[in-house]
Amino acid sequence: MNSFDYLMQGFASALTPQSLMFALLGVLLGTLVGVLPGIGPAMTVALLLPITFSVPATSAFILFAGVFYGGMYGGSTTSILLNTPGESASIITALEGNKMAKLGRGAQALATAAIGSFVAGTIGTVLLALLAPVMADWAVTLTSADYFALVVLAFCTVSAMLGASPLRGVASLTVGLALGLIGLDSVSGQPRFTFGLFELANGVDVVIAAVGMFAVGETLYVASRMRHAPPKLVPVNRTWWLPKEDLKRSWKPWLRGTFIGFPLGVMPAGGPVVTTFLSYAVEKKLSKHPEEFGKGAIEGVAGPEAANNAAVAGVLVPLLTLGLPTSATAAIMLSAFGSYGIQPGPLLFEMQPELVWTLIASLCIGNVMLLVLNLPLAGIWVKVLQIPRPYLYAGILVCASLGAYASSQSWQGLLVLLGIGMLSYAMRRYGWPVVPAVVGLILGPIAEDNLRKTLLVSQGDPAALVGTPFAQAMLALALLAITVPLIMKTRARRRLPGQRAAG
Amino acid sequence: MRAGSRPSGELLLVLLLAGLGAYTLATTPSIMVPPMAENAGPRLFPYLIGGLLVGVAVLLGAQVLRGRSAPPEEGEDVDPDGRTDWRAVLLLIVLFAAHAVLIEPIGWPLAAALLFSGVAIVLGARTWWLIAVSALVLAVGLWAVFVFGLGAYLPGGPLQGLVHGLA
Repeated sequence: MNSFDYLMQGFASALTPQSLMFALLGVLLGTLVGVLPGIGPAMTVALLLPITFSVPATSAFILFAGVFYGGMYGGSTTSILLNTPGESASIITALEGNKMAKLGRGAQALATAAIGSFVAGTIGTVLLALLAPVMADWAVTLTSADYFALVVLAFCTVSAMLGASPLRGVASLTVGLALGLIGLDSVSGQPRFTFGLFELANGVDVVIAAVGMFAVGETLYVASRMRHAPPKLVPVNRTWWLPKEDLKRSWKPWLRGTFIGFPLGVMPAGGPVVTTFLSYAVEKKLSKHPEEFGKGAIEGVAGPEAANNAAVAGVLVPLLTLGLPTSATAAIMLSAFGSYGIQPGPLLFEMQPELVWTLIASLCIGNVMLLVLNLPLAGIWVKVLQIPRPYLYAGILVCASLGAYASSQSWQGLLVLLGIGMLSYAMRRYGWPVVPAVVGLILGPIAEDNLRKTLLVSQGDPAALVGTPFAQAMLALALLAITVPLIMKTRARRRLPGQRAAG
Repeated sequence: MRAGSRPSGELLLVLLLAGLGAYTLATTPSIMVPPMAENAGPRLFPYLIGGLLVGVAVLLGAQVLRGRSAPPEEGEDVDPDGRTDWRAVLLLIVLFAAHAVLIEPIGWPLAAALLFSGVAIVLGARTWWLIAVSALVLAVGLWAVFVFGLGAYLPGGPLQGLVHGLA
């Protein structure tokens, strides 16, 4: 059977009422949390992890992937109407999108974001279906040294390319790596840093760590310096489709955004956020109306919104074929595979073809649902944005307790959650990004496994770590990911000697 | 550091990082190593991480002492120029800890409703009936969805008896 037959089978199982229901639930929830500040797709998937005890794997992943896609759609709505992103991959959209809304072109901005997301999501999913099996075949040949190099690259990009200060990103990563050491050593079975506690033998629960870092930390941080003025929403008209003029200006940025977003999502290059910056820069350069940039250029919404959705599809490629997550949401999805005892990686397409192809087919269907949900229902999402903040954050804390209790089954787990939330608060207060900590916690054990396997085979010779051309290339990229932001920072500091630069 | 300015509170966070590194390095030698694994045993990675923690702490400590700080995280509900409202943060921490302790005695739905009401009031909600209604609807609704819909376990407290009584 070839990929096409598998895909058709995937569509057959994705069109069953149960799969359709989970896809719809996923995209609805995803859009909701994408729109809402303080809660994003990563945190939502973390909250939903306990369902892996009771729901079949395929349904759970349809739900999670729907949340991931939906989050990207929802984030753009907040950016455009409120000038602040509901989700980090929509920061760029706020630049032009909110200006458009203020000029009375909010409906067009929402439409170009939604249709662009649809176009990019669909093309991205098709590319995923084409590329993933090829990649899986190739990934079988990767050695543990190659894997170790890949994980190191992911560490470097996640910690250095996001946030204002690369060093603080690395600090956050090491916190996650240290938390990841806790538990029984997977190779020798020795307890490490468990303080003799039986509960810590399985390590720090990913749900507790992620929910603490994201939801509890965010709530404490917002509480510490809450903006008491009500959010300033720009009113918009309802829209069904783009006017011809805007469509003409949008379709090329959509396609360019897709082809920027997808490859960068596949590579461990910082996930969807980085791609939006790149797409914006490209559109600004190529635009026939460069003077409109900064004043509401539609290309500046169309490109980045397409890029972040294509990147989500791209992120799924290394997640499924290598077991390597390159964004926080994907990292949490990886731990969901763990709770089903499924090992994502080169063999996934052989061992679980039904799961994979149903998931891919569901993504296509989910995209259609998202387009339908977002164009005419924008008005409802606007209402959601007006939830008074005290209620919103109270609800987020209640959800955090729900997810943490359902997964740890103990009230002590909630105290650990609170402790991690307080740590996350302190990190946010001083500009340490929290995503690297979550990625470090989840990927740390994978890095260690591959490091030790390599060294066992080479009998302790560290040269084996750079023994293959692939590993060399990945480590070289990792070095670039760390040094380039530092050099750019130093140059910027030299150019502005009067200003105290953030290091 | 600018003349006369207080040392940044970030130093505490950096010290925590250094302490974590020192602790990791100090306790790693007590991890048992099985005889067959001298090349790449269970101590190797902890040593690496411990060293990384201390190294990053030193570099970051130097930055902080020279007065270089990063901008605090931005968010749409965050007032970047606002003063830190310690009262709200502390109250939220106390409320959450109390909620954790109460779950097993009074059940998750009631404990969650109390948490919701408390947090909403601390953050400035004042419409009493709306707080009470949303707290109860959200807590009982989520509990019902997770317990009956998804098969998760959350202690129901008095609600558990009520549901069993009806069933």
